[in-house]
Amino acid sequence: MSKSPQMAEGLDDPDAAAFWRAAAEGRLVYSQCTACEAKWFPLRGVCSACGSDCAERQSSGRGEVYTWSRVHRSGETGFAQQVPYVVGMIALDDGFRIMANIEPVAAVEIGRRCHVTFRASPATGKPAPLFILDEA
Amino acid sequence: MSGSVGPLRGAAAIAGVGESAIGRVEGKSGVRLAIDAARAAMADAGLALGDIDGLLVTPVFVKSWPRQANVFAEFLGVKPRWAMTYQNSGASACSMVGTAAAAVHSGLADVVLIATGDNELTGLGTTGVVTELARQRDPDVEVPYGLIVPAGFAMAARRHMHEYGTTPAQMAAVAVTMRDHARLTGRAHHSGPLSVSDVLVSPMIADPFHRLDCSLVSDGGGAVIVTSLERARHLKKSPVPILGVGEAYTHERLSNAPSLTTFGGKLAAERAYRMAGVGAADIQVAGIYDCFTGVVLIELEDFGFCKPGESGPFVADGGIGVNGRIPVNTHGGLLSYCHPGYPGGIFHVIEVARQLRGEASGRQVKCDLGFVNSMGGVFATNSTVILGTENAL
Repeated sequence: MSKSPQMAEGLDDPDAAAFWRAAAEGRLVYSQCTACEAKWFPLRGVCSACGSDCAERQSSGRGEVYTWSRVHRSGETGFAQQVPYVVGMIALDDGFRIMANIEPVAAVEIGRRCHVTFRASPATGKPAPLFILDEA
Repeated sequence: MSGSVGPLRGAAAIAGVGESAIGRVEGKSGVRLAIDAARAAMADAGLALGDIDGLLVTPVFVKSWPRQANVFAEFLGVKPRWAMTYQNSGASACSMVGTAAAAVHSGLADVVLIATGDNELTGLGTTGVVTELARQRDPDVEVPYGLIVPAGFAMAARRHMHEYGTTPAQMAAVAVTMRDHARLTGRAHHSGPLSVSDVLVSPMIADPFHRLDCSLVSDGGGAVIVTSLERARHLKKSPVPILGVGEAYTHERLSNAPSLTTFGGKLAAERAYRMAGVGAADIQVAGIYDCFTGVVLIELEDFGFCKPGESGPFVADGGIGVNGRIPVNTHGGLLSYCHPGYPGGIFHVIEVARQLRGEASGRQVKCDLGFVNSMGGVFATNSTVILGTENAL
């Protein structure tokens, strides 16, 4: 299967473009339905519950670790030089979940409070969320 | 029974099963492995090329063809009146069995050949497969964070450990049981000795999964022939009636899974049980999609073989062994028998069919009712079939 090493084909997806524009400005955004107020991530224009229009909302970027894995072998994903790294899920206080990297890698545990920063994704080179554990 | 109406339960049956060479198979393409398996399944059923009028074929991961089913049809030498390239990721195997039963029942085809093969080991290698699967995750939500597939399943296992106290040693017991079963087949990809401590000292891949908690990357093909129960009764082997089918889809991105410790597989199983008119307590042999050890624990609970949180002690206590309460993957599964990618789940179907036909020499379970699930993505696509003997009709 021959494929370009470029991993970020989806970055040009119109549905996702607003997320990456916000990330480049250091903002974490999600969608909220203007009718039923359901919250969604990743961004979408149409509510997956009621079909009404969604609006973009800015997250506080604060939440807690829901689950995680520390990766020691990563294949050619762009992360080969980053091992060990943690990829996990964060339950945002705003009421949605996101997958992201979490640091410091040795201290990650379920339930730890954390907050978002942004750094260039090793896979795509574009600014992407990175969650940092709050002081214990 | 073309064009018959009424319940799907027992309308169709598995009439033939077959495999290619498996493991590391040098010099054979995915299509060729599927053809070898298809010819074995036709010989098993006593059917010829001219009898095949329906075709379900998975894409070849190593080499993507447009119109895969048609490519396969031309190479094999069949001219089906109904054909479909079927891509439901790891859930393809059970989904194809259910779809074949429905195709036969509705009259789209009389004899459906399900054929699937891939040469992932010799064609891509383990690192190549891990890389390609990672590239195929969501480009905006998962790829930027280095989500390799083992890490996705590891996140579910981590939640299971957190909520229920499940241990790495309990997960390792799944790998050991699969290896014990694989050895009994005499032809598995991996059949060397394996202990719980061997698993626990193998290199960490995606915590809590060690290398030996992860399934294999193999070459291989499998095929299953589905026809009406009535026609199957006049073929070479005892029919294996298809009694129930069920599917479920609850999320694509793992961050949107409703739970990390119970998944759509539970719904798929319940739907299949309902159609078959049976429950988990009635099942005597099972094929459970074992891409990672911890996955089997969650599935045992979702399918009703254990209560939530009890699967760890259950497997450590021998519950899924050949002589256990519910023998699981008596061929050794994806962890030890063979895992070429999309075809992986077909070996679970084939093994349960062989068990129900009484052909599982050296590992035979007394059974009239079997369960098989297959699953794709990270618990994203879920498919179940209930199979039986004529006694279970």
